[in-house]
Amino acid sequence: MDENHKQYLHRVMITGLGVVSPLGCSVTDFWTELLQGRSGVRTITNFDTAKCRTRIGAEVIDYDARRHFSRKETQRLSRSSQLAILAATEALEDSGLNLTAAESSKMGVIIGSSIGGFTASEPFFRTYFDDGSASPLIIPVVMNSAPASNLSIRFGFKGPLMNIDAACASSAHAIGYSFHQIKFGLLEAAVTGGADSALSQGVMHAWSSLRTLSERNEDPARACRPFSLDRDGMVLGEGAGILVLESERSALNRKAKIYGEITGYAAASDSYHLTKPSEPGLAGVMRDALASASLLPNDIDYIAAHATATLWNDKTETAAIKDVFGPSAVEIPVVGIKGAIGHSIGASSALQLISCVLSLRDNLLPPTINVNIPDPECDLDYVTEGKRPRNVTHAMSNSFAFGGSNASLVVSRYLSHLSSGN
Amino acid sequence: MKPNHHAESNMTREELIERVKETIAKETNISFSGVHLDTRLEDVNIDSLDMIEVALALEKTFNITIVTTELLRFQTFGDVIEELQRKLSSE
Repeated sequence: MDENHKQYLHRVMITGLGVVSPLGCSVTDFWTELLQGRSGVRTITNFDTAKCRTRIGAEVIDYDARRHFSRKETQRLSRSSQLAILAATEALEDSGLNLTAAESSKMGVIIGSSIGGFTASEPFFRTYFDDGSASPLIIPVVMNSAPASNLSIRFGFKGPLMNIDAACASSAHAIGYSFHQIKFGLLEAAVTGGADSALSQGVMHAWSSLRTLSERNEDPARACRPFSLDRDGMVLGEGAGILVLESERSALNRKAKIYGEITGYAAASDSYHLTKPSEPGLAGVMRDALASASLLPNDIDYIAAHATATLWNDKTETAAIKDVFGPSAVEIPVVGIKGAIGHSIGASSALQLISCVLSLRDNLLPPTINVNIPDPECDLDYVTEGKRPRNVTHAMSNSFAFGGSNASLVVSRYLSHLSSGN
Repeated sequence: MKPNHHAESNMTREELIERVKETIAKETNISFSGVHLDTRLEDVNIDSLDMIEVALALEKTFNITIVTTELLRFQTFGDVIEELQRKLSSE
């Protein structure tokens, strides 16, 4: 983009955060537990896992729907929609946004959700195949766009409303799309992120059949081992991570607390395989994200890795990071938080990005837990010793989805003197 | 196959109103004590999705069929009663 056009671009601030996760139902609980190296992976108790090779998952446990929703609401809100509303409530309160009707008309709701519809549909279709009756609620409850729609309805936002489904990269693309909308002046603010639940009997069995899940049922907290030589797969989870994004002008006008800014986003595809990652694809999207942020590889202080703990993801991601960052890759801390929170599919990228934002705020990195045995093909600095102090000015967050949809986001400390005056 | 006889067709209007109230209250978990014939269903928090479930329950209770165009015309409690009475008396 030439210099003449840059003056019309807006910087995009992060002014509110909300989290519902297996480590707790608030940003504070999530971050405290993550820094402590705790695991939210447990033996599944909510449904029968007898026929499944895997019997562990990362459930949101300290959550009782009846405390937050009426009986009628719980019937009409899937688990993903409920978690989305809870996280968005925290994010909006945190942001201090108090929108007039006119402002609400420009507030976008762009959410990533991908698997929650499958899990929500199971009880309905169980009834249908048992007795032939189909509830009129099936479609409005299970559609993957329901979490986004329910946020718009509940909070009165009338700007663009959509769900982005790109499997495990859904919420990275949702955040990236919102970033572009604000950057190019099409939106003033957005509620974005992801909400999803991958935990139901049939869905878990399906993932297990694909041989992607850890089968270390006897040791749930230590089952998911990103970058470890003895890793045996991911652990399914659930949760919601919601961010309030707004233009620098909007944030400064209302004297909002600014956590940081989104400075880069790239989206690209492997164009290769439905389940296997491609190193050139992963490297390419990281390079594009750096270019989008106008940064060089050595500007990045920290990488939040996709790190699912599958054999292929972790070694391919490591190779791609080395390709992009060269010999200095070993000097950049790389953390995978899925060992602690599992893989919440559509919500995972948003939870990961929120952890990056908190690292910017506190200059602290969470550890990668459960790295037991070094893998010669995973030879970067994975912060295995526990939380680590680190000055973070620019952090990259990677998301690589089944089907080859890749996203990389860059978040940066907000330095007001860099502003061109928007 | 259609049954030859409907016990419901011999009901008085008052009995019909009570049975419909019971059916709707059971289906929606909404108290129907203060509801009159001219009460708008929306005003007692029964929306279009609830009405689909209510119609299903009424079909079972009274052994009738409510087609979609009829369902869409139900605005007040009285609309439901009039339609049911018409259906039951034409049997």
